Amino acid sequence: MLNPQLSSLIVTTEGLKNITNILNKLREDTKARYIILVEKSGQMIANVGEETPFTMPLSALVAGAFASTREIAKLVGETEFNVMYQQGKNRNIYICALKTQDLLTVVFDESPSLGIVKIKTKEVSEALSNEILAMLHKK
Amino acid sequence: MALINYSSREIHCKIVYYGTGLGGKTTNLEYVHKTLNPQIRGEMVSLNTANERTLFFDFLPLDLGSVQGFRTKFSLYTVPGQVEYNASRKLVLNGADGIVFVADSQMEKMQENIDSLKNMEENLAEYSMTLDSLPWVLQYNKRDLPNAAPLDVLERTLNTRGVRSFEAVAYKGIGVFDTLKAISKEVLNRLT
Repeated sequence: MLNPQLSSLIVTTEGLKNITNILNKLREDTKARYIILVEKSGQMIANVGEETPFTMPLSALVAGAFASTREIAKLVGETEFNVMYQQGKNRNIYICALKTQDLLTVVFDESPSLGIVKIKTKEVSEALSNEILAMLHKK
Repeated sequence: MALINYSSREIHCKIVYYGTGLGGKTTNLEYVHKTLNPQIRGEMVSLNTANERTLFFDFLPLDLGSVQGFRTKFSLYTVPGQVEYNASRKLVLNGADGIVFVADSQMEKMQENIDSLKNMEENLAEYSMTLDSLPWVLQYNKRDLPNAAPLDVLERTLNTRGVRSFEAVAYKGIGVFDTLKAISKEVLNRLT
């Protein structure tokens, strides 16, 4: 039997279903290309939207980049930066830290405005955190 | 620690290669990447400086078969070995399930190995982890060099806890998979 005490997160079928529903709704509202929920150490918890073969390296890089900004925050006298935004010519990426420190990562093109993405991700942050916390407490 | 996904029946584990600068951590991952079938390994991502030294980390995802009906997926990371990049090293250690400490066998690198090992323990302590609680193995790399320290000297100096250790010549692939097999087995044993 797997020892749940030694894992940081057990993704249950029910938990994943709830998270996927929230992410699908977020994708609908923001018209994002795809959305990935990344565990803080760089593992992917869930993803919705366009298929990409790069979810694993993307998750690792997102976690690394965000962890860097957290350290930068400390160096400039801030406790942490909650969001990170990268703007490209065709694709943008918006990363928002949940209260569990996991990372909601939204990849979108020019169609939704950044404002919409910001508001809608904030709206679902609490619910996603709660789903993750519920799975953590089930250990 | 590991992520277990009951929905997709997958276990995700993180293994970090730690050690001194130019000790062969990236070479280990490059050899694994070069040798394994693309069906079981992903693309390797390297965040390097302009002169090809690791700036943040290297990353290589692997699919290492099934255990108890779960597919096991390992993410291999290296840390930047250079002393000045300690902040980055600490970040990469976050959530590690197992560690490979790659020691440079050259006699004149002994002190650097000792310092790096001490630095690893200090960084682990920041995540409330210790070398007694986490699976880890030692790899003595560059065994082919004429100035390599004798094995018993390395063992006495670096392996005070008596963990499994492997001699390696990473660029030729010697010892690379023995090390990887040992650490992945220890990580999975800890989970089951």
